Amino acid sequence: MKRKFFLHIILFLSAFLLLWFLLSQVNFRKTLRIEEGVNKLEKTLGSWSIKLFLEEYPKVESKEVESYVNNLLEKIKHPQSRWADETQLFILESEQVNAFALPNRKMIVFTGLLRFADKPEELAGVLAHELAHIQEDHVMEKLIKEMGVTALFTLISGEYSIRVIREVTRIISSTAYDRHLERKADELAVKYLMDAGIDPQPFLHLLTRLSDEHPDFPQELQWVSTHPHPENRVRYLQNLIEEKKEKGYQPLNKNEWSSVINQLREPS
Amino acid sequence: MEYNSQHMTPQELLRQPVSEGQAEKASNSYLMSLVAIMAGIGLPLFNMLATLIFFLSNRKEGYFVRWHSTQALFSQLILVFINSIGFYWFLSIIFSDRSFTNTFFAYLAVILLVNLTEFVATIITAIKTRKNKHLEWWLVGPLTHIFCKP
Repeated sequence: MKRKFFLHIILFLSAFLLLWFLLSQVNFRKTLRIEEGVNKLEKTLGSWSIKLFLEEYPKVESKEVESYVNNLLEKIKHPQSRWADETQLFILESEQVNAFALPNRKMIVFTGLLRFADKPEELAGVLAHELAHIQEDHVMEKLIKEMGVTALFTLISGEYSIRVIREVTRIISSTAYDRHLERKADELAVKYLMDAGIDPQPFLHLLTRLSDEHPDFPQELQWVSTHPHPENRVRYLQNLIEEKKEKGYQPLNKNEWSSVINQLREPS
Repeated sequence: MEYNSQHMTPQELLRQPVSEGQAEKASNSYLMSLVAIMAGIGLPLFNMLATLIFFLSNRKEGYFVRWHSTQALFSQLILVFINSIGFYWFLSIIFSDRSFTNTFFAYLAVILLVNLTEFVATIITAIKTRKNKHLEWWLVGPLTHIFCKP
């Protein structure tokens, strides 16, 4: 009887694994329209959330500021990267030292961050970090985890209530990604900066400065308060930079940067 | 009619007629898992717990009842094992950085098929056992014979 049982269990496992393997060849994601549903959801969430932010914060008026930050982002974008051409940047008037990625490859940078940055390289570091979140599709991943499957199924079914969209914007702008997603974005940011010939050290300096000057992370410093502790980030990024041993960065033009900062409206 | 069980194989013993009460108890051991589903408890663990409770309460019963309670319990154990893998896989997708891959959906399809087969087999066996007919499942039957002796 034992022999019969072992024969049966071997046959059962073989049939189970074979069937599993054969069914794995079916493209369920396409059949179940998962990509299509998530893409549709991402587009809608992106356009609704940007609308809400624009209602709350005015866009920066100066074309010079807009063009400078956009050019800086263009410089960082890796041409082979996904969504390189689709990423859209919005610079909004707010004293918050914050920048974040929204669904559908949109990025928001507050003028508070521009004022806080001593050098254009510091801003470039934050832009590179948020760009990495976009490139790696972290935004939707974060939303799925934070909001849960049920809420997303409701959204996919087309029931977009203003309450849900507000919740999306709250999650995106004021909560952290998973620690490993943040680390991945940090590491990619350093890579993007180095590939673009921009010195990554000022980015690390910005992180240190934020934690030194504002150890308690007030509300205005949301970008650093919602991320892993700066000391840890500086440590692992410093190791990464030393491993790569790149030298000879071309400093970004300081006069241009000063001119851009002068264009910003005085905080009210 | 009297039978000398010492000269019979377990299979022959199980094919002997039993009382109405014994047939009903044996049939109920299969129905326990279905009752748990009908009560709205979809989690496989509850189906298994229902059959486990029934199995434990029937330990002193005749061979026919014990054998079928054991077969029902083992069938649920196998289901619990493969369903739990799917369940924890699903949770790991929700709470970590994994995604819904085609391999995951394929696994779901296979376990759905196994569950459906088990569901149909359970109903058929419950009906047959109630009519005093002995039915041994493929894979689970030989396993039951190893653990359940006359």
